[in-house]
Amino acid sequence: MASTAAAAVPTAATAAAAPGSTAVVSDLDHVDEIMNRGEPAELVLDDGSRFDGWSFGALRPVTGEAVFQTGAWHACTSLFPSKNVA
Amino acid sequence: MSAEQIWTRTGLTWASVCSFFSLTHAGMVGYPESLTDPSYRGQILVLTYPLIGNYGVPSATEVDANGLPHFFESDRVHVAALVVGTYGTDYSHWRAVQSLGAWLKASNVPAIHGVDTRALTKRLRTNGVMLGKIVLKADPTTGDLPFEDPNVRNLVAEGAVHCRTTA
Repeated sequence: MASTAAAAVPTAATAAAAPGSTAVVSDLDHVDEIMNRGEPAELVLDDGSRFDGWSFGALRPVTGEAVFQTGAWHACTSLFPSKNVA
Repeated sequence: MSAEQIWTRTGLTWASVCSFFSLTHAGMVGYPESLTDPSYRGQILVLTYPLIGNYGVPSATEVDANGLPHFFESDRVHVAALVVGTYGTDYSHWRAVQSLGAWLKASNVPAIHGVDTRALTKRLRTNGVMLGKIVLKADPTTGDLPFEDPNVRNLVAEGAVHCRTTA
């Protein structure tokens, strides 16, 4: 049902596609340009699980121990606490 | 994006059998502090906050009355690698002097974005901390890298300050 509805509405992407083109167009296809993605990379864990992504920072492989941090101050920065006020 | 890619990105298609010790950190600091925290030496740090990098990186040369960096926990980046959900390249902050990516590149530390950090964290939380590696798809040989446990190294020596800073 969703695909029928989508086909009925002409979008910039479908209008630009050449007649008879078999290219798959989805709403997510423009995300690559917006996000300025880097080289495809992958995080591999010791249990065999893999997580796709794109490289930034130094372009090299590395091994280590995977840990996580759930702090939410990455949002509004901690550059403002009193200790940093001159 | 195909359904297969989505499944791949959520990591749900791989069985997990490992059980390791657990390590979590709900630190109330920003990424400049976390990345320079010596306690993260040798670790691949996954940040669960969905948008990272949007306030750039402050100056490393600004110091307090004791000569210590104002905005960092040490004199250098200590994490082995960084894993984030969405990396914000278009940073904006009045104290920012460079982007997170530029800082990591200058520090020779690799990072990866576009990862489903929620699924990844749930896996680490359930199975415990485990070894990992970041590989480049353009160079398949990097996939053959053996897992190396940083805890067998002398991390204290690696993360320590090597010159005296007081009289």
